[in-house]
Amino acid sequence: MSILQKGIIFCFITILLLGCDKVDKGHERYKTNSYFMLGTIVEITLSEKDLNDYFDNLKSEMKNLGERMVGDINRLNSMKKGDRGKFDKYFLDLISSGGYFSKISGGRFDITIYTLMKLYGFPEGPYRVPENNEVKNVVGEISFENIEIDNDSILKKSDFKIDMGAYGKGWIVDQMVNKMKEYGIKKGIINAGGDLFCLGDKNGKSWRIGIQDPIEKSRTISVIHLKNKAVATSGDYERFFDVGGKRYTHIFDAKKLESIDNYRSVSVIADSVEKADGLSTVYYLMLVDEIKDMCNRENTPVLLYLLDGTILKLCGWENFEKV
Amino acid sequence: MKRFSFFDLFFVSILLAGLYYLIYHQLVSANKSLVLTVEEKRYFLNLKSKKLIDLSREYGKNMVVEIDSGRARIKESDCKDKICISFGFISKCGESAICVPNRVSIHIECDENEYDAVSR
Repeated sequence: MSILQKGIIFCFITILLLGCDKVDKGHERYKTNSYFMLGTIVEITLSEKDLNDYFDNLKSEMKNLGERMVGDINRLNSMKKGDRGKFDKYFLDLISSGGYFSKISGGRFDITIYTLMKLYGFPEGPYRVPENNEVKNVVGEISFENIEIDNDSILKKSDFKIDMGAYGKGWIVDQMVNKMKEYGIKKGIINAGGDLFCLGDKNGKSWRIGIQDPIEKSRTISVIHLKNKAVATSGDYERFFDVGGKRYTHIFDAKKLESIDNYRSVSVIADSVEKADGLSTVYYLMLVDEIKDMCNRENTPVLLYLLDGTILKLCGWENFEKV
Repeated sequence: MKRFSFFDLFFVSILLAGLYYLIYHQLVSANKSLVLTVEEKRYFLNLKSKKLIDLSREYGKNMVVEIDSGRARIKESDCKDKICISFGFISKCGESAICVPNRVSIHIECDENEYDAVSR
């Protein structure tokens, strides 16, 4: 081989390697790490460097937030009728959010419905249908009106039990996103069992999110592109049991005092995971026409997967399907 | 020795471009692995093998994962609803099968996945 040939080959390799380097610099590589916590799988997607530097911190932050919330919920649940207890501001705010969701749903959504759900064995099982007299004994306790909040305390006006499964997890993800910002992280995704927030973008493009078909799980019913937005999904497919041909889901209507099976799934896009998470349950309890009005008022795109397999996109959902 | 011709240049550049494409592609998309998440830890398994993995001994879970050259599934589980089994075989980048009650999941991990995250 002549010197000229060697020289040209050397030049080629150099150019290729430089080109390669350019590709790597322009395209930050993102990695996902996962673990089980708060009764679900949590997936954190960050650049390789941020994941190395901050994954452990974010995980322990989540553990602390979860323990704190569960501790406060248990304390409120163990208080007796007529008791007043002091709580931190974050918890009073969380309870107030429950009040908001209750109000906009005309009382169908209610965090005190856990008083009844508990008799069915939710959230963990073993499940059973309670006797009529067991139900009669507790229905008088259920209503958000029985929670009186002032500056730093809660008065329990009945013997209710609450559950924050509908939006508590969303609130925790929002806090973790705030923590990411504090650390100076600009881009990433925190996904807690399908309730997720997309921070920033990915190499100049929005993050690409699949909405999973709850029945045929390898299929997606929609693909959306998000940037600084949250999406959450509620459905009948994870916590439920069937007795005598009836499906008992973990979503209860506090007015009808029974388990509701209105949709295969409801997904909501919002500015915070708490809102997306809470509204996905609120909408699950409502009829299609009611959702059409409310998603406009709340400014939240919705994807409804009806029991007959039809997919409805409301309030601008399809705009997020465009790249 | 012959002089270096335009044809040589063309040939070498095609060869190098092809090699570069192959190597880059191998690194980016063929880097597929099976991640087993148990509680708070992740384990990498060889997706290309063909075997049954009993999770009871090493991981303390009464479950069986089947790997079948390029695809995998949760074959058995002592959980009540068996949702994890209903996922069936997973093989595409980013797919998972999850058992929430046992706190176990399997996941196909690639450098580039079809979706950055999945809402379910």
